[in-house]
Amino acid sequence: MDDLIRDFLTETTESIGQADNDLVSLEQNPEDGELIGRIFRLVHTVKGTCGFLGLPRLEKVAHAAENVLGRFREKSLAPTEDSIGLVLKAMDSIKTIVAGIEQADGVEHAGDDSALIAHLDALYHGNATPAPAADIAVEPPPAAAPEQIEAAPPSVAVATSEATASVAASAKSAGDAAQTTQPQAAGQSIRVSLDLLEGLMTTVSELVLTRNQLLQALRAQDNPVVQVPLQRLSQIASELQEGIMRTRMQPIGSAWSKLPRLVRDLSVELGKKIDLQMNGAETELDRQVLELIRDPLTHMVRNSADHGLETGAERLAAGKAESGTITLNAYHKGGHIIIEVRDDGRGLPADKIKRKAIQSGILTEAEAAQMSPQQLQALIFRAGFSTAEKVTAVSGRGVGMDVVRTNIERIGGSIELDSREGGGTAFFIKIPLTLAIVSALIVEAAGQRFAIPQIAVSELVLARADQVEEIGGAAVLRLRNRLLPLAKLADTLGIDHPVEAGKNNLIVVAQVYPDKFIPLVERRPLMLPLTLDVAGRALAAAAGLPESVSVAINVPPICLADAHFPDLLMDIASQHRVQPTRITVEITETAAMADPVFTAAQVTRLRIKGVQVSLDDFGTGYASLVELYRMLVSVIKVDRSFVMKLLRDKDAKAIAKAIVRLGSSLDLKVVAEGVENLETLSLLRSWNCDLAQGYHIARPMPAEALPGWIKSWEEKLSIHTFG
Amino acid sequence: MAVSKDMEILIVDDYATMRRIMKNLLVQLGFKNVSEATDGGDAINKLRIKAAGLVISDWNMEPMTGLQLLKEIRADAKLKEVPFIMVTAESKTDNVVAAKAAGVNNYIVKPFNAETLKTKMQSVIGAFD
Repeated sequence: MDDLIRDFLTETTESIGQADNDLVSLEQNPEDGELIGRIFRLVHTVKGTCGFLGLPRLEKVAHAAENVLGRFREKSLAPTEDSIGLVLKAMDSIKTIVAGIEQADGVEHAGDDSALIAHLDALYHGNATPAPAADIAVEPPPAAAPEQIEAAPPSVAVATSEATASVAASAKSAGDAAQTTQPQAAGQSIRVSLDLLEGLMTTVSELVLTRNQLLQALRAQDNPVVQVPLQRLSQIASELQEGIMRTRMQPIGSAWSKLPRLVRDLSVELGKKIDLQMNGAETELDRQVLELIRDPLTHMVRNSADHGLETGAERLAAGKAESGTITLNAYHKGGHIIIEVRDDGRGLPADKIKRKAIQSGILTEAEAAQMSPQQLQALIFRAGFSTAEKVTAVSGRGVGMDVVRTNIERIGGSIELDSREGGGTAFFIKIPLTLAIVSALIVEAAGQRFAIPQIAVSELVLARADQVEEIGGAAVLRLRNRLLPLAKLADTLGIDHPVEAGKNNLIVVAQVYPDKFIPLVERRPLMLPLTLDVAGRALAAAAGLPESVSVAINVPPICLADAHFPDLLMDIASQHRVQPTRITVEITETAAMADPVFTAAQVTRLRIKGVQVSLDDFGTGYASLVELYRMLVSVIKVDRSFVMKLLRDKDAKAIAKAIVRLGSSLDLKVVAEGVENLETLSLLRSWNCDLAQGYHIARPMPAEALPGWIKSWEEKLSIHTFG
Repeated sequence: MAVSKDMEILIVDDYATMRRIMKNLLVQLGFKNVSEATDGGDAINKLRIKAAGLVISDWNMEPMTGLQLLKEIRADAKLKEVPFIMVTAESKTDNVVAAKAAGVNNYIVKPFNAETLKTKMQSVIGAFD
């Protein structure tokens, strides 16, 4: 793509983002002439430049919007919620077109904006009452670029002077025009590509390391000819490092810039009056950290608007101001940045949380009775916990705060909350200023030193000999009654080293997420102990549940390939006193076909012991009917890729139906996976599919929650049967 | 008088893309010494440091508009003679009249190509090829 067009797209994206926020402010201060002037200029410039670049579609939309803004400016048309809403639609269209140009490498996508332009023109000519903005469909941005702003080439504005970089956020409360931030004069900053900055950062890090080596090597020598320039070099290297670090810093306002518009739209959608206050937008932090907290923050603001704040009527009844306030504060505190997300809404209802926790089996009555309101409120960070009365389009899907917490903890941060019923909720997010400097634990293995980021280290254990056990040939550590797989650093890194007995008792316990550890585990003989450990937990949980509840365990090929696997599984089952008939072992079709003869033998072993065997992802591998017949499996699972497309893809429907038929004629149970709605479930039922799984039935939940869920499901079923 | 392609030309626009477009057009026409100012105040400063043979400025800027810049230049004893071309996306008569009154040498409406720019420039600074 032409450089010029790329720059234009970046600049336009920024301008329109700014115009977006200014429009939201304008809605609150319709009389603010300066604001109108600025929005007009931004849109006018975009229009004016389009002509040079051959972007007629963009030009037309910008022109139509500019006309309406021109009438705002002349004060011959009042900026109302409807007219501003319409201009905001035009901004959305512009973003979509810009994203399209970005994707199509500098060429405009064809598209029809005539409805939007007609409405804008009608407003401009003043001969029609404006239609409510919501009537006009704005084409969604192309799928590959859901965030148009991010689609622009990555670049960061670098302030060359001491002046703080310009702040995009310009939230302000009603009537408080003074808070608007002025865009920084363009002359003081230049654009530098992120790659260049990242490259500089790496180079500087290398420089600092080399300096350190040099300092160490020459420390012994008392040679002034070397010492003086060396000190100077050292000083310069430090300054350089600090300077480069600063270029990576961005004001947090850039992560907040979309929030005014978001809150405005939520406010309209939810029918609540909401003020958004943002303080400390100029607080700087590393852009990498900034990227990582953008989504969690957006999620939290949504939550506050949807759950936190009451409706206007409820607020008035409670003696509060009709409009609710969401406040974001950012500030530095001891090497960390603190971000507060506050609302003055209803607060977290400890009693309701308690009831829900008991109902869903997360807590027992006795445990709940012992907990303070604060401890109960903190339960909202648990997976699958949502107190929303009903699922709304905005939030309340139960994948909220636990995901936020996980994301924040991944970058070494923490989140806490403070909430009073009736008095609002405040979340405090504490995150490190930068990920560029990482505290590390230095460890030695095979005579070499390695650094482990401290964020990843949960604890250090000096293990006694009896704490290290062996399961299936792999070492595990028994720590506070949990089995943790052990990996030797040198082996993991593939370094040859002589075996040193008795020196391997220092153990770093690390929290590793599945996307990292599964591949690691697969490379080592740890899959079997891990699978058995998971099976053990599942069976322990099953032991306390009714006999009718069966347990399905996914078994990876490497475990199934172990001749002892059936016996090991039986040992665990008898340990937990679970009948083998309640267990289903799930193997994938692809894995089964890798060595069909051996797999068939293993399946037979399991079936003899009474265990059900299920062929997972059926339809995606190459199982022939003969093999299926020989394999003695008892269940086949229709792969989700067919089930999820059942309603709209007639091929997927035909395949799924054939699998269900095949299963029942071979006397196999058939499970459909990936059932996400009632229509799919009904269709499957009409084919006599035996079982179904998927989000329509239930989302993943902790074992403690199962008894509660079973109870409510049975109630639901009885309603369906008799009602 | 023959126009030297070495003459200093100052582009004033607060929009970077537009400055680049303008600079490209001038380079296309053969001018080598093109500098840029990002707003009216910057333009005044730059003109005081180094005189220019021609100023091409956008109308639509903040805080100082192109028209205000023009007025300041015409009111400045040292700068008042410099030729001034105003660029705008609007061709409203009122605007043209106001710019004329303030002493603009010519007026050019966006979008335009190198040929149009050349014609307008020639009418202000004299012929060149």
